[in-house]
Amino acid sequence: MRSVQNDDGKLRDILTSVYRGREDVDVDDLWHERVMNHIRQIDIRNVREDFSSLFEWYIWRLVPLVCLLILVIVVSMLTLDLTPEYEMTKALINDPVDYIVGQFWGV
Amino acid sequence: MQNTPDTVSDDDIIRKVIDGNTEAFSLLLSRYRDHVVVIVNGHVPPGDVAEIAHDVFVRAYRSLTTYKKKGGFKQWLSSIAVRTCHDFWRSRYRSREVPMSTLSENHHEWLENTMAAVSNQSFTALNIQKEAKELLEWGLGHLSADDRMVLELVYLEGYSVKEAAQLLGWSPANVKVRSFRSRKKLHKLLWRMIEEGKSS
Repeated sequence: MRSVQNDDGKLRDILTSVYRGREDVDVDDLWHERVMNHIRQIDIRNVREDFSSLFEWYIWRLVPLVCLLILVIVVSMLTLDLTPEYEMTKALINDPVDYIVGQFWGV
Repeated sequence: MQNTPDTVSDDDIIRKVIDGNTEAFSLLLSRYRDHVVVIVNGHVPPGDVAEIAHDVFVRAYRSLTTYKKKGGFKQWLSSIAVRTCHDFWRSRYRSREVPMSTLSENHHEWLENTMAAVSNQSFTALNIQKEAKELLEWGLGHLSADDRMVLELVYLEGYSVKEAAQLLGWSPANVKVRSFRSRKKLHKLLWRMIEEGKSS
């Protein structure tokens, strides 16, 4: 057990050392100018918020509410008596003209 | 007393930018470009660093109106940099552009020799080899974008769970669980490779 922990520790040391040994990357003044050129094309007054992140934020916060809504619908579907709706749909399918006229005259 | 570019606070610059002085953003760019490049360089391939750092500043500029002083601009910008790197890997994995290079005998040999090295000093000399970097990249390439980011932050860079959670915008519990799982995955991959090297 101890040996496995030692080996894992050693492996971590190796990987960390390799990771930190990455070569540095520099950006020059041309890069700076390119970024500023891009920035100048954006009108900040029209970009009040990052809409993609805002949308994502709302989606995740709405998930519990959506789950609850689905649960309520399922429970109500199982408990409600849907026989009258079923009979009306059946009547509409069997004789649509008679059904619509009947509905129109309140029969 | 007149304010020189170095003495103007970040918050003052941000206020100017929001009020329509776009050029003031150049001060923030000069002040934090090295900081952002260092963060980005830790997470994406060297050839993509300049482009991703560019994206970080454009994102920051677009979101400047949502910036809140809590934690400071540097912290806020660091978080944008980490999330941009995360998005980079997510899009790479989605389009399956992550290089899955096969490893040669040299990689097996290097890892086996390094693990057999008695002291830290002996593997410090060994790890400058090309194989070391390729091996790490191979291991990370087998992880998901989420696992990769959390592993790099917590395991390789040494950020605390709380710090990594702030940078990624995740809950600390999620970071804790993910970093544990991703570390296990990486170790499993590398140990399996050592075993295969021994048996062949």
